[in-house]
Amino acid sequence: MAKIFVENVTAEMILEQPVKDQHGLVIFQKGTVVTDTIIKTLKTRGVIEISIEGEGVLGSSSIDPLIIEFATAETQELFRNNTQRGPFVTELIRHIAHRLALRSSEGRSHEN
Amino acid sequence: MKTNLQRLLSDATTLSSVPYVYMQLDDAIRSSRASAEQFSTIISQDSSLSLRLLKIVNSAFYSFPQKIDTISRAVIVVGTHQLRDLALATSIINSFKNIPVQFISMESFWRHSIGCGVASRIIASYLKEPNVERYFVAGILHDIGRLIIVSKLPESAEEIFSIAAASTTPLYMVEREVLGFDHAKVGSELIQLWKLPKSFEDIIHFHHEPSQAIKHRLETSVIHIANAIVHAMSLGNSCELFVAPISEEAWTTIGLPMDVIPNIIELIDKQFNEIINSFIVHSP
Repeated sequence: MAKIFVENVTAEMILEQPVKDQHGLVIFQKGTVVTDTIIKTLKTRGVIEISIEGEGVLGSSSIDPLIIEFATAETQELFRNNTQRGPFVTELIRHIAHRLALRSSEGRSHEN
Repeated sequence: MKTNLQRLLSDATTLSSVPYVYMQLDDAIRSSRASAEQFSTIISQDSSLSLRLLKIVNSAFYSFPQKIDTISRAVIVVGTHQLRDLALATSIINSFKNIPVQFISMESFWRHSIGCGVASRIIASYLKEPNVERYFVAGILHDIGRLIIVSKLPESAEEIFSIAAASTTPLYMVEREVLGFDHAKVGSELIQLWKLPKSFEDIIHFHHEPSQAIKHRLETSVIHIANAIVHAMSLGNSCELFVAPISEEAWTTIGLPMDVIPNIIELIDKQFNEIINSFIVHSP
């Protein structure tokens, strides 16, 4: 299993776990094959990262899933006063979480 | 009991006044007799300011192909209005360096403010706005009212920070409850007292609620969005624990496509690191 950021998701990937939106509502079931329409929906609904089947897949899959989870949680917390999230805030959150995960990952590799 | 804003402002003017060098430069521009030599003479009266300005214009932030080694050359290359605005920003940061404050790190405060200036300038560049330096300065000054509150009303500031931390309410909302006004109002009144451009007054007043800006809506929206991005990137801190509510309408007003967001973030990271050491006032 690999956790990846939505911006790195491509069509044909398979969801390893159900995907919930920012309100905790399940919007796609486990086993769903990702399509371009699904990717668009994931972005619109404010999803930051998802679990997909297989390992060593694109982009941020090289980042430790724990770091991705940490970065996502930290970023969501930072934006807790933004309860009404429109397209800009949703997009900004995704990029900020991605930046934090990359920096945390780089920091860890410098330590090693 | 609510605090009297006018009394606070009259106290605040004892903290810092508008830099004399800025007034001289502004007078020179208004007189239409401004020459590079005249500008250079005014700035060179303050050797520390001259050094800081040369450091800034030679940083990768500006990426001029050749080294600028004199102020008169900087006036020609950077421009009179732009250099006047940079002189204003650096002088204000310097003049607030030693004001007594509790509860906040001045270094962190200015990192946030300078970050907001950098982000505003980048967004303004995307919009191809003339004189992007005024966005840079407006970003740097946007939270100046908070310094006045913290330094002149330390007991109220402590109450505000403690209520905000316990309730996770944005600071500016708690300021309004406790004081009857917020740091944005204090900042805009200070700008008015200093007789700085009216646009700065409006931008600072409405930087948390850009839709209320009747005039200068675009500029206010740019500072609002820049402030949010820089806070989210954790570049410094203006005492807010969480990113204050963001106006989607502000992004719509700016009118940039969503796909520039990662480019803006990348440019902020790059330019912030290049400029910060030219400005930053290290904590004692």
